[in-house]
Amino acid sequence: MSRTEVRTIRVDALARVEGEGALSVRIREGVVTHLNFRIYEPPRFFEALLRGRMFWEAPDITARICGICPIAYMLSSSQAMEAALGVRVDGPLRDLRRLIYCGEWIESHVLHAAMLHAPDFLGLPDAIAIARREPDLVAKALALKKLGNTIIEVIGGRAVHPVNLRVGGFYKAPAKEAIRALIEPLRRGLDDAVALTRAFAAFDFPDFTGDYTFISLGHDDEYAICEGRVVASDGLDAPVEDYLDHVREDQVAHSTALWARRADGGAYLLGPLARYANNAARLTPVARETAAAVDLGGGCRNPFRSILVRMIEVILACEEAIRLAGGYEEPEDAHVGVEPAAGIGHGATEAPRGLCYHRYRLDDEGRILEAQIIPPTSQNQRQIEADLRGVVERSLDMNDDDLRQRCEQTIRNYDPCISCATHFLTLAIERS
Amino acid sequence: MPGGGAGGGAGWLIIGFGNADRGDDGAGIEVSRCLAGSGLAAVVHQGDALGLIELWREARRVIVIDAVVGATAPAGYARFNTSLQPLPAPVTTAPRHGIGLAETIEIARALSLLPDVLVVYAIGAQTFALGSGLAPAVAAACAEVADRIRREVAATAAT
Repeated sequence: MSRTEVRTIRVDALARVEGEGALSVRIREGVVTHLNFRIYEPPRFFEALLRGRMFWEAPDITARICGICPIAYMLSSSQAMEAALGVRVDGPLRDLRRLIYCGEWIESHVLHAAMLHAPDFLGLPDAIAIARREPDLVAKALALKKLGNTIIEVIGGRAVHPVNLRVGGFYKAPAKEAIRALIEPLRRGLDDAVALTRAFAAFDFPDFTGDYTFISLGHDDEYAICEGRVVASDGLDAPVEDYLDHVREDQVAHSTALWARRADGGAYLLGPLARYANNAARLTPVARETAAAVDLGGGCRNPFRSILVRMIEVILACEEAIRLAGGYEEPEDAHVGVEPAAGIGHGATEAPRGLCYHRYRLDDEGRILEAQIIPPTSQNQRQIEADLRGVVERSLDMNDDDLRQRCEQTIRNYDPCISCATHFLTLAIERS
Repeated sequence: MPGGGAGGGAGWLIIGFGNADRGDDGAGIEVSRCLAGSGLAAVVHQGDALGLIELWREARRVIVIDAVVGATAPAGYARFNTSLQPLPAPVTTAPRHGIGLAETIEIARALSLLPDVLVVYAIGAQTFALGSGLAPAVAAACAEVADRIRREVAATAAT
């Protein structure tokens, strides 16, 4: 195709992602002159909704931000409130939080990897096609998804909008037998996760290397999931309460979600690649062994291989869940005491898609005066757009249909949760 | 309302599917609520669509009620027997992480995990706005659909 030709490629609604988004690209004489990744889902106004509510309502309200990652919001908000109120949740209650979070990672990661992203690598249009072509693979994925949901249901009371999590811990501690009963299915799930990872490793991955600044939680003793310090691949190491010293949110005209940047203006990347970069030294044994077997041992800067990193995290979540379930003893109290007080609190946990940050200011009755929630997908928008520009620039020789498909696949590298990002393909490529 | 099971009421399992927090996406849940206490195995599912496969795994005959756009006018309803063929293409349910009811049915079909009979009652939605509740006309449609399901199940029991 001539480099002087005008090309227009339009994807009206981005498929196989949650929420509504669009992409427009203009290519003039072989140069990308315009590229917008646009989220146009109506804003959620959750931050405004929380103002005037009591601190203890925040977990149940924020759980409604996302149906696929409620634990991330419930725990980020709970920990922010606990920080504001001078409360620390430790011991068996902390372990229960990590266990339920493992359930969320398992079900969210497997849904995305097997049903939404894997079709891209097999040249298939959708999850239906992959079920027809690879029924065993999809059956394993569904079993893992069910396992993740079961963990959330046993601890949280129900899989969607769990009801048993609260500031300070839980309303009711699950019975020891119910937790121990998770172990056998988790062992089977671990085998399935390894099988899926090895199957996905055979995909043909587009060649792309990103010069990313990875930001995630980091922890001295464990692969960071539900607590830690804010760490980055450029050496940042800061407490969660300093997060806003290092990132900023801005409004942009072409998106209903706020955009985030480093304090110096640069983009950064959250999610599995970032966690893996910053926490790989604390992988669990089978996760480490499988990562080496699929050539992830040295880290990963190819976003197309994020599907493998997600599956490594599923393996890790299964191993951690087995350990935590095996060591669980019913605590004497299901939660620590919490008294209302004025204060400011910050909380951050690793949602499946990346670091999810909450900040609240309370009055002396514990009423929420200010709320700020920064979901991972909104933070990744700038990097998603940068990746898209890089992919398009490297793929100008593709015909429009193939380029459209490659752009959609690129966006799905991030497993964007657009509904979260707006508390997230209309792809129009014009070539001239 | 308990979740899942082999079905009561002539062996039917009735699943009200949706999200009660998102306007008319609660229509399926409302229908199940209307049917509770009728002696029918009527449950609700507010999770993702793929979870329906596990819910109906042990059931032979299943009715799923969901809010849709495209299959019928807002506050209207349509009945589809998807045992042998997919939901028609214009039917779109509220998207939930990329896989909706229509896709779930076809995934189940590919995996031989469809019940013997799968009927879908699709209620036309007017809005999926967060926190808005059911539109009055949609709530009225829910009552009609519940009544129709009672008659359908009773007719099956009589044969």
